[in-house]
Amino acid sequence: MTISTPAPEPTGAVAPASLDTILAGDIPTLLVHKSYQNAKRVPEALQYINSLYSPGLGLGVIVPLHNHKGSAVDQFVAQCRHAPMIIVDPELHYSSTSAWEGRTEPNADWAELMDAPKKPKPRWVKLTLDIQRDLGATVALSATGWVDAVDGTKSIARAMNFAAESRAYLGSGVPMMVNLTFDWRWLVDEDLRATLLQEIVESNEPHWYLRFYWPEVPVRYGQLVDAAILAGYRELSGLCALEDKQLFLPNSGLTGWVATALGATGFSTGQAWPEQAFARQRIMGGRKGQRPPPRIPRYFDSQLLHTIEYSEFQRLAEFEDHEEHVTPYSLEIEEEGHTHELGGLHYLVAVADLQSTLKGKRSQAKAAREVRTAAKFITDLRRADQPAGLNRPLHLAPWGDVLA
Amino acid sequence: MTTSLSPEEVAAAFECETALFLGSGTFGETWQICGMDVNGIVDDYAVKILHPEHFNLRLVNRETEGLRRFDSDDIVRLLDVRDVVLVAEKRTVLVCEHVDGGSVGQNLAANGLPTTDQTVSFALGLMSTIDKLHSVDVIHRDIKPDNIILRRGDWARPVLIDFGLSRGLTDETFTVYPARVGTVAYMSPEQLRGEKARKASDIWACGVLFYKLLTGNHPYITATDGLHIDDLADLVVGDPRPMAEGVPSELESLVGRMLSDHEYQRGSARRTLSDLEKLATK
Repeated sequence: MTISTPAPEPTGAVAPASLDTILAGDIPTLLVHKSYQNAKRVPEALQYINSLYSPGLGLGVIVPLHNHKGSAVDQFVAQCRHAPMIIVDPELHYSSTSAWEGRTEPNADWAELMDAPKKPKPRWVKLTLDIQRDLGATVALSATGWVDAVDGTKSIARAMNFAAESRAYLGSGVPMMVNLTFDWRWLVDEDLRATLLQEIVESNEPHWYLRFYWPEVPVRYGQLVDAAILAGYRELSGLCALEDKQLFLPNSGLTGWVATALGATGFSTGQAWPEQAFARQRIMGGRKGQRPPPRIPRYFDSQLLHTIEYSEFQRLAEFEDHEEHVTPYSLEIEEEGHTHELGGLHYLVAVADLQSTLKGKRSQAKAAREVRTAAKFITDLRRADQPAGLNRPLHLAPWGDVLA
Repeated sequence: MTTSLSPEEVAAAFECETALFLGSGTFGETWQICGMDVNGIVDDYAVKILHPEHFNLRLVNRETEGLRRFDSDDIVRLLDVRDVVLVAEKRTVLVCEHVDGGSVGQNLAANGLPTTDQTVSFALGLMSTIDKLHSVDVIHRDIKPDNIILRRGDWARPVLIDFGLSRGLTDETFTVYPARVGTVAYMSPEQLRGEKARKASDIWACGVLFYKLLTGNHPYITATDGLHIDDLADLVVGDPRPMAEGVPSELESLVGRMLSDHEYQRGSARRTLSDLEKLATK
């Protein structure tokens, strides 16, 4: 095995890329999406990422409101002040008027926020934007949420009216992203995609925060493998680059990394699966009173661009051609054993490393090279040694195609 | 381009010496008024006498407020909106600066097609203007040779006139707008289908115009006479006819993009301008 990156001590004094630089889209950006659990050491990981990759990598955090109390948001944001981009995501796809199929009751702190009107009401729009500001957001998300695919043209026009009201309240100088959440069909259906892309071209808003609700991903902690959806991301990202629009793709995991290579500015991911993929979830059955099975110890392997079982990682790491990305958290795992928290923190740093490789020109070629290297590592192994099951990176072939 | 008014009637209405008929369009007819007093300055002005059946003053005022936001050489300056009595009928009139140099249509008729370099200069000027409008969400919706004046006859100095007026139309009147021959040639497929015109429709119209300046022809239609609007909508699909040799392929491809069926593929005015700038510096 080869160790590709030593784990330096954080210097702590590196100035991060400014918010203006991030918003200008001059550098690739990683937004760390706070998970409900195990987020205690995320501020420390952010500092480490900053010390290693700034100013070539834009850095930010996203705190979702739905399952967080206001006090928890406050506390987390206070610890992340060194991140230039702080987003407090109202997650309005949970709102009362949303047609999103995955709606659940939000934390009681946001009852008024979730009582969204059908038409833009200045008072509610103001409330939505003020909450974000008061909780420490440095960039606002427009007071918009789920855009239904049924009668897509009208749905998106309605959403854009809310975005316009949000802009009217904030004024022209305040950074704001048009915040829309869609079903994946908007990426695949030609008419829906054309409607969305036309909205982006028509609008004078330069920043877009677009989240797509994926179909079920075959393997949790895996990657999106649907070629049609990936092609939709390619067209969306490419168009945004051509039109000089900055596209941020929350909850998109490494699909967001591929999209960045294709023209998006950045993406968000987090330690846990829901932050890595905004996707339909398999319903897991279980008998009442039965204890849930133990969680799989997972580990992000930069060589495979894939999260695999930790034991499988240890096996693969023994191969000579395997290049290991060492982080402070991988060292901790080695010394003290695997925990989900450490696995998640290692993932964040490894993904930051990956995202930072896209800075400068020819990002698509750079990403394609990473994917080829990963695929070659596997094909060079004897068949019996190749990873199988959830450890098999099924996404490399479609990624290779979309990046070609 | 005809008028039912006489120069004497128009001159009398404006209490001036001479009035020259310049042209007529969907929303009104334009006259040059010589020696008119506007805000204490006696000069030559262009006045647009609006057809009363298409306008109501409230909507016109709303649009003219938008028009007044611009003060640049590439957009005709609106100086006043007033009512005049013309042949015993009250008419709303837009008083604008008079730009000397003739419209694109007049210049084409008098001097033939511009050179490719002149067309690129013209395209740069016009797209810069469209970008300016679109950046404040103003859509012209009626870009055509008669609505662009070349300041002092210079192809590099196009001046857009009449912009924004179509925004003052009610939806009802807008649906009859496509029926007018002369303007339909510049209408985008979605306008021809009776859908709402957006910024992409302006890009389409500019694409048709640039194509005409480069080739002398419409990209899709050989004649509009006698064709039903549905037929026209059927004609303007797919790729435009190939341009003759001699037109730089990048320019042809850019104009082709502006004529895409899918509105988003036409790109924004800013992107078009940026691509033209790159092309011009090659």
